[in-house]
Amino acid sequence: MSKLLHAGFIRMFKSRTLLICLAILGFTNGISLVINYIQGSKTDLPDSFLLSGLILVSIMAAVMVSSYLGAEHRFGTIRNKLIIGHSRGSVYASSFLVCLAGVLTMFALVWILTIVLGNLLLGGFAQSNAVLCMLLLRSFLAITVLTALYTALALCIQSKSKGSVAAVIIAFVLMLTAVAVVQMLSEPAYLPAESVVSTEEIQYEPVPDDPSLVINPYYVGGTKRMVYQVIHDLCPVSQMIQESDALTGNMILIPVAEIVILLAAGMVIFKKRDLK
Amino acid sequence: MEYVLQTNQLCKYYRHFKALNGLTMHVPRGAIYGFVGKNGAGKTTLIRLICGLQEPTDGDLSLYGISAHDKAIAKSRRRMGAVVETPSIYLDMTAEENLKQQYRILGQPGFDGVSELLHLVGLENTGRKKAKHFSLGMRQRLGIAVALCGNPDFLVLDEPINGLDPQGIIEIRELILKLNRERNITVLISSHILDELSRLATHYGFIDSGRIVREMSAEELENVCRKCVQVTVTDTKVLANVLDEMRLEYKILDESRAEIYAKPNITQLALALVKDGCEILSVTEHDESLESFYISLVGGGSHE
Repeated sequence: MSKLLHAGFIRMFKSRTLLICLAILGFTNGISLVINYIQGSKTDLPDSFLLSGLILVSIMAAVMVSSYLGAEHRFGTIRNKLIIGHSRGSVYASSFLVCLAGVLTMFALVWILTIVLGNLLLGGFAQSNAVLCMLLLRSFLAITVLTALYTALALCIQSKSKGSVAAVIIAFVLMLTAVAVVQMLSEPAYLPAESVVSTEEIQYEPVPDDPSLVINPYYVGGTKRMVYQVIHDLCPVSQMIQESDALTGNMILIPVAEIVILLAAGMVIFKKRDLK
Repeated sequence: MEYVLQTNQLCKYYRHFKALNGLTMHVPRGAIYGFVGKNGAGKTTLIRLICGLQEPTDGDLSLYGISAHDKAIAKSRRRMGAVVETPSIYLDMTAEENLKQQYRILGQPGFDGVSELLHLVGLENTGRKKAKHFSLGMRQRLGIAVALCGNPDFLVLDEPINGLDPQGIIEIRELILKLNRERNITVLISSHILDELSRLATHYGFIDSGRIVREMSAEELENVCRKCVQVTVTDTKVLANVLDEMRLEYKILDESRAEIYAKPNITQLALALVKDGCEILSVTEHDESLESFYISLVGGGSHE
């Protein structure tokens, strides 16, 4: 497999797609930080740029992985590896590791750019170092899960265009799901009574034990909350964008389990696929 | 005879469609094996199975005597190169970059043979031109060069001349002959262009509906397709003596029929035969082309 990795890394880091993805990430993240600084806005801190950058990495990963691996099917070059005796397992594993290296390069660019420019221009992050460290860990795991998912799609769908479309659609669905679920779950159960005004559409009921608080009608409770929580735990993008400095077992176990399941399932399907 | 590739009752089904239906074939070492069949006969399916791109549904395939069911087949595959359907090359790379990439995949320690390979396939002057700007013939030659990177002694080419112009066809033909003669590479070449195959092949396998209808050497095929005069006589022993005296090449088919591979003077032949009490019953000129032979093989019905 070392031969495949060597060849794959060289191709990946010479790839125009990776360069374009890096340029887009650098532009959207770096330039927007600089513009923010030039405009003198004091309200925006680098934290929001970091989160938006990481979400963009999750989309770019779909584009980059499906383009890189889709080309192997389109050009037929995946055959060159199998014909000379490389096993499907090693082709799959090396493809995943090479793509992960490319995606982590984009990931590192976002982190380094935001930390350096954020500290220099916007005076540092609002969140504590502990929260940032947790974010680093969670986002690393989430990006690895996404890379495993996109690798499975790109290698198991032999059409480059179909694979790319599927990956990008899934990337957007995951992003929108994550944003919606995180927003739903972050709604507080109660709101300060003075901060809200009841209208014809929305009626705020006072909390019986505490008249200074009202019940938040947007709060999701009961079974519905459990369902949203499961989606939140399983969706790699929502794992990435939550704000927490707590290290829980699920935070590590769920993404690791997802990576193992995706790699195993992808490899089984890829091994059984009739290649053209 | 030593065989590079052998298949035994090989089957490949796609749901209910039988792409290969008990195919048995033998590719001798050092041969240029022309694998002939019409579109959809199963040529590319067989090549995909040989290359390990697909698994057979039933039957067996062995490369250098190692069965496809054996894990050691991977080692045997290191000794082969293949171009399946379209050339497997990175279109966004130059010819040299493509070969270097394949060298890395093979784990070759250096790039020593790259320029020699480029020279061999006539792409030494392509410089920084990307493969996407190559002509079809150039891409095909680059595909062959990529397949040759591992220094294989068995090369599998699937329809290598499809879509090429006459010049491209000549170049590919000369390259294949060069590889076979100078490097002693066994070549399996699939095609439905019979005329072109007849200029290359030393052995033939005719495939129809996923089965080999007939395997034969070029020599046998030449004999079958040879121009001859078929005569039916009352006594072939007498005919043989007369033909020996006339120093004509012939073949006795049975007690009454023989083929004469020349244009005999019929009057002279008839007089000589009558003298020894033998009569000529019929004389027909036999001129079977490769095409007509192929059609007679796969022309219709079952070929069991």
